Amino acid sequence: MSYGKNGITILMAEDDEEDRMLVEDAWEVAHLDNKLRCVEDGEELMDYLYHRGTYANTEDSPRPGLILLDLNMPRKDGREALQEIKGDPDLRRIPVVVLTTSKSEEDVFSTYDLGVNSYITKPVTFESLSKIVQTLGEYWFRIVRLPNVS
Amino acid sequence: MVVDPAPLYRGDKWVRRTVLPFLSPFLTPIAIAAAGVAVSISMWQAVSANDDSQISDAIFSQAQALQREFQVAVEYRSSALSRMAKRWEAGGGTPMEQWEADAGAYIDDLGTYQAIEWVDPDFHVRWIVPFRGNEAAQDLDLAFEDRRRAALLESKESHERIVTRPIDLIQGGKGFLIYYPLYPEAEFDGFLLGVWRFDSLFRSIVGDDLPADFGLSVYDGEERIYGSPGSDMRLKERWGEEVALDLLGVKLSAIVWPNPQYLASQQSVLPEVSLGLVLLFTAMLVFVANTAQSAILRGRRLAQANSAIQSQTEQVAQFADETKIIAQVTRIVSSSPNIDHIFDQFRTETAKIVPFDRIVINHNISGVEMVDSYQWSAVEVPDRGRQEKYAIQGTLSEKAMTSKECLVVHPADLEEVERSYSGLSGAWSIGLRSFMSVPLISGGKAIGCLNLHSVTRTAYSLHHRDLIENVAAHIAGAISNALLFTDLKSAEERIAREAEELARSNSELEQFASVASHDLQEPVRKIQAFADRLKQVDGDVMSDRGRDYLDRIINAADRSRVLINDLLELSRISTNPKPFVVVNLNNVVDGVLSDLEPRIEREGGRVEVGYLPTVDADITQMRQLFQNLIGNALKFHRENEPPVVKVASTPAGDGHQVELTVEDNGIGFEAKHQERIFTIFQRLHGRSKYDGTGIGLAICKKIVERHGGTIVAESSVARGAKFTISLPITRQVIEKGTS
Repeated sequence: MSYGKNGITILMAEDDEEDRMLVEDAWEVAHLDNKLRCVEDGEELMDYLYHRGTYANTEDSPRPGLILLDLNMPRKDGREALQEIKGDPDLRRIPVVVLTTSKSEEDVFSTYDLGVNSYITKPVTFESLSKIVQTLGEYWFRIVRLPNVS
Repeated sequence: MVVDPAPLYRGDKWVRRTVLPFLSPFLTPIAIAAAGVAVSISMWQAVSANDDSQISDAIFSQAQALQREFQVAVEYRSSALSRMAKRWEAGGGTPMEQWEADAGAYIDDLGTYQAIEWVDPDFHVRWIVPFRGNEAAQDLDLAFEDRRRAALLESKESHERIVTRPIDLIQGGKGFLIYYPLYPEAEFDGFLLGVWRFDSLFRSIVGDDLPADFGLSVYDGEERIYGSPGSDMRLKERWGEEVALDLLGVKLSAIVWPNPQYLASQQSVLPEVSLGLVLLFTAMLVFVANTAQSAILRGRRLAQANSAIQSQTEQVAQFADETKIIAQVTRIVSSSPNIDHIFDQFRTETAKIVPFDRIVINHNISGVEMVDSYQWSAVEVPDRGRQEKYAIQGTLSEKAMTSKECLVVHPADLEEVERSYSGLSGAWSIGLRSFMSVPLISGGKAIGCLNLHSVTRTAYSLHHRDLIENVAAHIAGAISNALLFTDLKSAEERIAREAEELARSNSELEQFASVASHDLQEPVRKIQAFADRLKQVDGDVMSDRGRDYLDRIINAADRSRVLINDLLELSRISTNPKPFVVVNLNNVVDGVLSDLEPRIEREGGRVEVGYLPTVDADITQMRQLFQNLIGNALKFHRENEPPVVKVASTPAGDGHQVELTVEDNGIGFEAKHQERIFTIFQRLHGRSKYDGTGIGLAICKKIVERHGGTIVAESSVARGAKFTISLPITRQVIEKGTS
């Protein structure tokens, strides 16, 4: 596992193991050296962000520079988690990109309303997914200046 | 309540009461006139009789006077002869000159004597005064006849005067003779003879009065010896008064009677006057009676008219009351669907205009058997529960319903009706005596009967019948309405329930479709993704056949995904609707065209867009609608002919609607399929030729319907297809799911 030169960790919240696998594959194909960490639902996501439970160690669980968020998840779904993140004065600076199968306009509107930074519908083919992941890395880690992570 | 004398129903016939004729008003005046005439006639007769007796009395006294005067006159006149005889006797005979002078004087004075003669002792007439007119008697031998000689001898012997019976005078006319025997110095010296003429005698006696006023007839026995001249003989029979006259010993009779002049002067006008007066009085009385009678009659008529007016006024007032009550009943009946409530109110209101002790409303609308729909009774009715079913055979209800006529039992027929209607026995036994049955007729059919009963024998008149008949029509209507209302209500409830169930099942189905398609999407996407991945990772080490299979898996998964996607779209139209906003359809179509731009270019086609209006709509769904329609138009183009699509609009429905048309020059479809193409999963072509899920037009239809519009397709093979959508321009109906 190698860290990107800027050392930014990407945190993905996705309940579907296969989707996680596909994204990880795409991550690999795109040759992104940023660390991709995964949580399986909204609860776990918040535990990670607040360093609760297994994520208490800030060394092992560094604050992510970008969150990839699925909307439909068990326990706490992406919408609730997004609301909490954007409602937290510290966490709200972390860019959140929704990556979901939902094409619903309602979801698009509501998440943007909540302050999401991008909304991406999961593509059908792996090729498309690879392209998206590559673009994401390009955009967020080379073009965009992110707030400094303390 | 007024029981009017209208005819009442009696069995099968109607009986009308008769009124006695009024007595003639002229009877009294006529009676008075008759009585008056009778009274006046009898009065006239009485007064006349009084008059007559007065006249009779007068005649009688005249007769008496005549008798007396006759006596006196005869005595006086005869005394003259007596004096001459005395002088003769005293002088021993009277010298002829002296004697003739005396005789002449007497004859002139007395005017009674026809002649005074001296008859010598040999019974020969010697001296005659006056000689003229009596010449026939000169020297007449008076003894030439035996009877006369006997009388003369008797007088000579007895020295008494002799008066003869009336005789026919030699000189003519009637008269009599008086002989005075002369005995100077006791020696017979003949007789003095007085010849009396009745004419002269009576003329001198009765004087001036009698002949003028009275008639006189004198009879010697049956022989009339004198009749006064000019007397009206007719009055003699009527008024004649007979008296006896003594002519110096000779008995005569006389009849005296009045002349018309006298009668006229004596008969008073009193009878006529009184008759006239009484008749006048009668006439006046008749007039007064007639007037009075007329006045009484007029008064009575006036009173009748007054009482008629009063009774009419009362009737009008009553009618107004009744009208009010009937209006009230009608209002109640038409205002409430609750039949029990109607009957209660009806009973309360009806009691104000028609008396009853029991009211039963029955109907058979729900079946063959009769049901007491309503029953109220002031008298106790044993064994009769409400809603109890019973047979109407032998009841007045049955009769009223079969004849469809109102029945009022006439009191006179009561017992007979009770005997012939076995169904009446129950009501009869509890004391009910008046019966009125009015059929309830709805739609020309007797659906029941309204029965009013009373313990009074003469409770119901035809007037009541009319009132109840009027009300019954409303009751019949109310029963029908109530039943219809009940039917309608249950039908409405059923429809509402079914609609609700349908909506719920629809909603569940859509929810299911939504969830299912979403969840189905995931594994399909995975199949696709990993098949892709497999191809990328190990594609070069796989056999051609393996790669072919893998491609088929990928294609199938792709189709599956599209299918699910379309299904999801379809379900979202109603499960995930957006509020209607003002949508410029030109902008919508522009957006769609820009999405379709690559495809249009690829096909070398053209889309012509005319003016499109602004409508109230769900913008996403509008976009989807045009996307599908224009997409289809591009897709189903003919080989080697670039697609030309025309989008246009025309106003419709008085400007409240718009007709949008999407027309192409493509392959079209058979007209028989114009309904079918809007059905989900219905496809007209094989997938190899034209791909698609068969959901696109179903989505279009659903969108249009959600917007309150219609969509129709028309085409024939190879003539292109034309889709016409009618949409309301503004939303007036807020549909379920929109806010």
